[in-house]
Amino acid sequence: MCNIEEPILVKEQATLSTGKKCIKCKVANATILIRYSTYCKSCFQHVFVGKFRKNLEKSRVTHSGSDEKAMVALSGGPSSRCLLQLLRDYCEPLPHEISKKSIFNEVKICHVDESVAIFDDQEKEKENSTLHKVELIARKYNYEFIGLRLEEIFSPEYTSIGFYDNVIEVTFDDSKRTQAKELLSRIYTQSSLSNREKLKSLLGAISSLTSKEELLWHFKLCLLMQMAHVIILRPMKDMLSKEIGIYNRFTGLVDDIVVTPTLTSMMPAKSSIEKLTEDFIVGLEKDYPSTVSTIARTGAKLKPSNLINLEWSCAVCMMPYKEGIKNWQSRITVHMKQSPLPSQSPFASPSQKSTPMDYHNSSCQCASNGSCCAANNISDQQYNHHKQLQRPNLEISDTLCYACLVNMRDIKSIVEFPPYVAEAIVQKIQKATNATVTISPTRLKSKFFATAELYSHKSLKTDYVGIPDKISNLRPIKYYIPENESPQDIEWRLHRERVDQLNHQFWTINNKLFIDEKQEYEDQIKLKTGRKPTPAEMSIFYKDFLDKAYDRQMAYNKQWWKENIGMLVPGGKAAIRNFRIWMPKRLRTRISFFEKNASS
Amino acid sequence: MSLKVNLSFNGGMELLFNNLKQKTVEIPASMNNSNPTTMKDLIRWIRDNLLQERPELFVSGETVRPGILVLINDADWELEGELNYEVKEADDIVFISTLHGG
Repeated sequence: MCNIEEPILVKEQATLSTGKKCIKCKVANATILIRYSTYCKSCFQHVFVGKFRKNLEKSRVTHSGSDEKAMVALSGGPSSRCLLQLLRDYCEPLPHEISKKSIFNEVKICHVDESVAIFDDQEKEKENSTLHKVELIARKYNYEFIGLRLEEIFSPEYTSIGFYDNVIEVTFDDSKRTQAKELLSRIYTQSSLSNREKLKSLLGAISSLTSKEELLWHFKLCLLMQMAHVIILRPMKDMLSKEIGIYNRFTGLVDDIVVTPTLTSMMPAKSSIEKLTEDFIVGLEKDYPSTVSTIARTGAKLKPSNLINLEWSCAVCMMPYKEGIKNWQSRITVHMKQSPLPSQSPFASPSQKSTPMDYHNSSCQCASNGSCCAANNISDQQYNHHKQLQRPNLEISDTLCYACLVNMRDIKSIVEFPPYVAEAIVQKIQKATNATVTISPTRLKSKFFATAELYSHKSLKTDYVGIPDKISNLRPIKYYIPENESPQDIEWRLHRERVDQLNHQFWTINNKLFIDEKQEYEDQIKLKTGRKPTPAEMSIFYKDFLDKAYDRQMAYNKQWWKENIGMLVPGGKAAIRNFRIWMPKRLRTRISFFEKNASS
Repeated sequence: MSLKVNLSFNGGMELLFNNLKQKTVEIPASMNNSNPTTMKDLIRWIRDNLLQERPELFVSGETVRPGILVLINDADWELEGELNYEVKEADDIVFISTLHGG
């Protein structure tokens, strides 16, 4: 009978192998033990390289195509360092090796520096930055190197359209009135914090290491995926860490490894689920080496269930997920009865009738702090589109997979999520509302998601002046429309809007040209002299730019003067009309005399 | 009597030893009564004399923690008798961490 108390002897075989021959060449004395098989040094290397190539070719067959490009995601750690070397050896075989067709015609190296997320102060971040160390490795190879920092996930480039600049604000409402935590969110224009500060505050607001690690992993993957819209191959998945370690030692790569600190470096196994999993796998590899690759292989065989709509993916981790999580969750968890949230909350609550992206609430918030009046004009089409979005139908919890939703629970204060998340959520809402509107740059740049309500003409009580445009430096003005706007008033308003538009267009183009040419000039100087241009050198550029722009500027000035003079008369008339409204009734008839004179 | 052995710490192991990557050390030829020094003794000796911090990241019980490879003269220590291997003069003993991030 088997006794559960009986110790399992797994080391038995290992100790017996002492003094054995290599199972491959059967001549040399074995020096390495891998999965109970003994190898000599040279046979080990041969087998290891062979296994890599076989794995690579196998995975290639399944997603084949010729002229493929490869990108190595290089952390600098033992596995990716080894992978890079193996891939190079494979792509550029030595003369005496059997020439195989090189399957990748281009190899790039990409590294994501995570030091910002790991260390607290800037000094330590710099000191432990992995970007330059990894770049040094990459330079030894003749491949293009792409170095990224994790905080870049907050820049608008890392979205599917490439310039989406809204973020999503997420928080859990902890108010005691509701007793239950409520996930709140809204799409919002990015705050003025730097990307680094944003990432730091996001991570700082997450209480559990596990959630932090997961989020970092998603961000990293998102960055990598944006760099190379790829199929991920894992040719190393069958390798034991022991094999990699020994190979690296034999090839000298071991001295060329960048130790990448993680959130749980030097921490006990229980500090996060990832760390605990690692600890388990490492222990497993030691005692049952064959089981580890079984995990990887079994994982690769998992397929999404038929219930999963593959077109929908989680806004944070980008993986497909099952819809209706909230329903499911409510069936399996104990629910507290929720009372409505206080109405002064700037966030809309999913428990209320409105959507989390409740524009009315958002715009109230905007109006009170006046910080987001920078929207450009919103056309009727855009306004209609916005109205479509307003229909209550999709909550943030519907756009996330269960795992990411659970991670959100660890958020302790209001945080900003990167634009790619906001973009995914907006796209989903569009899909859900069957809006056929395609996303275009102007629409997104107008930042109307948060402010559209403010700009629907009817809601304005007076003229609104926004913050200066980033490029044209002009303040956008949204004119007040009175209820019974007379034809003259309409004409006058449209005239002013047209002139504003003219100014805005001219200065946008002019300033863009200026910024671009200035940058080019500075780069040239830097290339020649290796330093920044002096004020004297810059003045040459300024004069040159003004000379070149003379005709354009003069044409604009003439147009502007013309419009200005042309506006005097209708402007005067309008002033009189307005004045009349404020006058006591008995005086109005007399004023009409001046008005007549002015209009004749 | 003492033995001179060359120790190397790689793959992040050096962080536990104040960035020490390589060192030739002199150890007693016999630590446990009059028995010759074995790997077991050596690991204990390293823990007590060289390790700067966090012994739990280096040792687990009497042996090294899982995730640390040990090579003796470029041969897998599992083929050399592991803890019972008797350390010899001028042995090259390498400790390599295989963990990502240490």
